[in-house]
Amino acid sequence: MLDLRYPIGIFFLINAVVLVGMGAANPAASKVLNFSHDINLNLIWGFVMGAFGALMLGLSLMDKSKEEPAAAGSGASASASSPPDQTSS
Amino acid sequence: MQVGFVDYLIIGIYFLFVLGIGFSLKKQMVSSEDFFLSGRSIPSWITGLAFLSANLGAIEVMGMAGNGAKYGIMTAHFYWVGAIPAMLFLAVFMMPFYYCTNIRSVPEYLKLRFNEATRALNAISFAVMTVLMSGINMYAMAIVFKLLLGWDMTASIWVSAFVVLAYTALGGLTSSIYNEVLQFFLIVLGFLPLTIIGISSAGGWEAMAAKLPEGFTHLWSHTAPGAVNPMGADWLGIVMGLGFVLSFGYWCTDFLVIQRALAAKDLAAAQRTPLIAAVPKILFPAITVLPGMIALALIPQIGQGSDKNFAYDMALPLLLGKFYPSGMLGIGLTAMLASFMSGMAGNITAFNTVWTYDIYRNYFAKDKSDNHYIQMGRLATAGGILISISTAYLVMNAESIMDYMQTIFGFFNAPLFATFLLGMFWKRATPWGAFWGLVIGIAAAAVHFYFSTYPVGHPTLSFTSPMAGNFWRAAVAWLACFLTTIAISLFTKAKPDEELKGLVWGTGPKLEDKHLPWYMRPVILAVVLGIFSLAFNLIFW
Repeated sequence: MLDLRYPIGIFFLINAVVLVGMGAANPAASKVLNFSHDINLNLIWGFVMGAFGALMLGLSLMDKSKEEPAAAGSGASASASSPPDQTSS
Repeated sequence: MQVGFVDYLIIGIYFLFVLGIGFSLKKQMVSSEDFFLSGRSIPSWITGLAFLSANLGAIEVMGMAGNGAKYGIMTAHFYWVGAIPAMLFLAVFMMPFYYCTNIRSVPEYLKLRFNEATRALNAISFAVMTVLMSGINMYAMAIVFKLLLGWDMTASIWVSAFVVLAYTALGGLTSSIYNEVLQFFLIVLGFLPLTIIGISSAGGWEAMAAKLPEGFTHLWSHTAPGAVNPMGADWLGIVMGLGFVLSFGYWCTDFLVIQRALAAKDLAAAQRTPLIAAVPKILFPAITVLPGMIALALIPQIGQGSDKNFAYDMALPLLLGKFYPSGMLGIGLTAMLASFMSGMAGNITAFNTVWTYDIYRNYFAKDKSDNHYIQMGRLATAGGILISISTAYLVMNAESIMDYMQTIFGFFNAPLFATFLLGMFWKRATPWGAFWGLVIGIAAAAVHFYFSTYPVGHPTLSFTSPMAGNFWRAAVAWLACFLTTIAISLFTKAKPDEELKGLVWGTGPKLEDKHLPWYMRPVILAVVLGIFSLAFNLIFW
């Protein structure tokens, strides 16, 4: 079964790139509106979303790499297709 | 509100991912078990977040923010009193019955425990209720995007309906659940900055509270009978109507949420599902109720006059438009779209299961091939969405989305909880007792609704607010069902003990959780979460 953390990770990384790109290219248009302080919201929140996306993707890839040597070692085809153990949360 | 190219790009990326998840799951939909129950294979962190997210539709996001602006922090009663206790009860006491009897739907439990008639009554009322709920999401989405961006209502309804149809018909329950989890994270990350910026902009909590009407920052201190509070409800109505009947009726018996837990890979995971959901649920008022209160403090026109652009339910979108620059605005709008779609998809997947298993297979086409039922599930998805579209327009007559929803729950879910309580914990409850109890409970809600609505302007039963009326209606419906079921059960024949194995408290499998580490044991988790919930009640007393 599809490891959900993989698409979630990629989704948030792509959005982070869009936000950070916007925040860096056009800081004037990325500030919080109607607010007393100058805060580049696109840039800051882009990094937050990027960190979350990277964490999700990283966890997914880590489990995948753990699973592959195990499957190769045992030669069992069944374990290769079984979903990674995600119950730890 | 200025929506730029970047914002549309972000919305476009979201649609691509949602459809992509549906497509990538399609080849795994081999049996009807896969399609309707996700093959009982999903880890609990996913079912837990989906459990919450399926309920995170327009009602939660727009309605709760709208209520935050209308009733203040008392709206958080829908979380700390009106959800958490019921979710914990479901996990500890009720989930073993649902999961271990191998049922595929809540009505199916009623058939095993009682009889076919009770199941049919529940299946049909549930099917009607879910498409109405789905209609709410459609309408809420369309009206928001029309007011905010000038999008055509019909176009928004059809485009979102098509996307939901595509991913649920392709990947069944799994696709709906996976997308709900993606939507959950998007909603949290999309709305969280709004609360932070909003409170800071209002000058901090104290300064914001000073801008709000009296009582808006207190949960309980203004709820003595006869005292004036924004919600117009006293503590007894809140505890009995909302905290007991409506809340337990929804969280413990509504198949929309139970279905997510049934997709879990084992009983322990199914029990953890509502517990995992309870963690974000306790914290959710921060991104739903608070933005509503912030909006009222910063945009005083909200709720004044008849301008739909400043209706209570517009609190959240108004705040988005006030603070978010292009870019983050795209994220915020996508989070709103996501919430509408997860609410809609949740209802539709629950509807297609109940329709296919409990109604179609039972009454129209008994022994067909497994593939036949998958195809019927896909057809039911399309049919359910079409009916939702047409019911979307019903919502337009309600005072607010939330009140409308509570009205419907009062009719169906409130009596149902009495049926389940007696069914699961009292062996003597009989099949016909349950059936007539449900009928009388629904009828009592209808009679109560009639007398609290007519004569228009001076109804026979008057309440200080529609919400208080809803709380009391639910309590009346529950009591009518409870008493009728007991009374009729005493005069009718109960099922023999051997037919009740695993269905009634004390006859089921003994729960073995000693092998689990303490932090995974349902009872311990439930106690800890209960304490947190209580703490929030005290903090905002």
